Amino acid sequence: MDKGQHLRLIFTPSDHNFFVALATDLTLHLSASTENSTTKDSSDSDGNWNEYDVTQRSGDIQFAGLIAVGTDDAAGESYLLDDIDVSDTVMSWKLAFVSGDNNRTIGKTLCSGSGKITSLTMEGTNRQKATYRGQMNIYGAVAVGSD
Amino acid sequence: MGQHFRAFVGTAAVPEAVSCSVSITGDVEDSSTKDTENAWTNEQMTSKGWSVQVDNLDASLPSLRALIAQFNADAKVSVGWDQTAGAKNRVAQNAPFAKAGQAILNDLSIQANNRTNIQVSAQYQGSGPLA
Repeated sequence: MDKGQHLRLIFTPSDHNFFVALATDLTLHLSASTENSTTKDSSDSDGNWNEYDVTQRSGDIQFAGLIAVGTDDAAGESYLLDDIDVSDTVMSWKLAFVSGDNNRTIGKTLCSGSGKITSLTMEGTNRQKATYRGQMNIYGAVAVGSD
Repeated sequence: MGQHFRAFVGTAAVPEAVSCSVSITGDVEDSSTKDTENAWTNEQMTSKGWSVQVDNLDASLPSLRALIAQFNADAKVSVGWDQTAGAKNRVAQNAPFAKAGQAILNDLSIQANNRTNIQVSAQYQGSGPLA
């Protein structure tokens, strides 16, 4: 079974790869709205089953990680919390399988697209790690990886 | 047992499945009128619908790519359920309750949390009859 740490969210502005640093959770969610397309022309003899067609596709990516101050990003390859903000700016991203030290050797791309970060929550509970959670709404189509 | 009740997409049982659920619902309309000589509704079925939800741990790159491609496509796929046995509990037994029809992959979730199995959840909305 593939483990969750081997599939990572990577932001890709100007084709540069920025890992979400100190990431813990990740969920890609795709949803299609459907509309009942049954008409008077539909056969009565089939048992009055409803027929549907897709009218709209949408999706989001939820991600979470630890909040850390002073984390070294000398290599300039990470998005820390201060790089992530709720904004109308369209960001390019990909989900890719990773391996190697720190799970930062990028392998095959699962999918890619664009999105806008629409929510960000932070939590600081006494004696626990400070964490954050973000949601990016997918903007436009999701492309299946082909590398 | 649950491992012997499996969802099928295309002709194959969904691999590495952990759970599935099938829902068949009927929409009803009350046709009682002033002529009805009591207070009870007289519900008549106007249409029927069905859906299948399946959760699995098949997080191989080809499988995940195929699911996203299926989500992106307008084409409907054959989805059904059956009792299974044999190798990997994947051999369909053509049980009396087995049915299949065309469906739309209308909800897909891929969850990849640190140190846990990648979990895939797919929901198919039936379109048209079950047979």
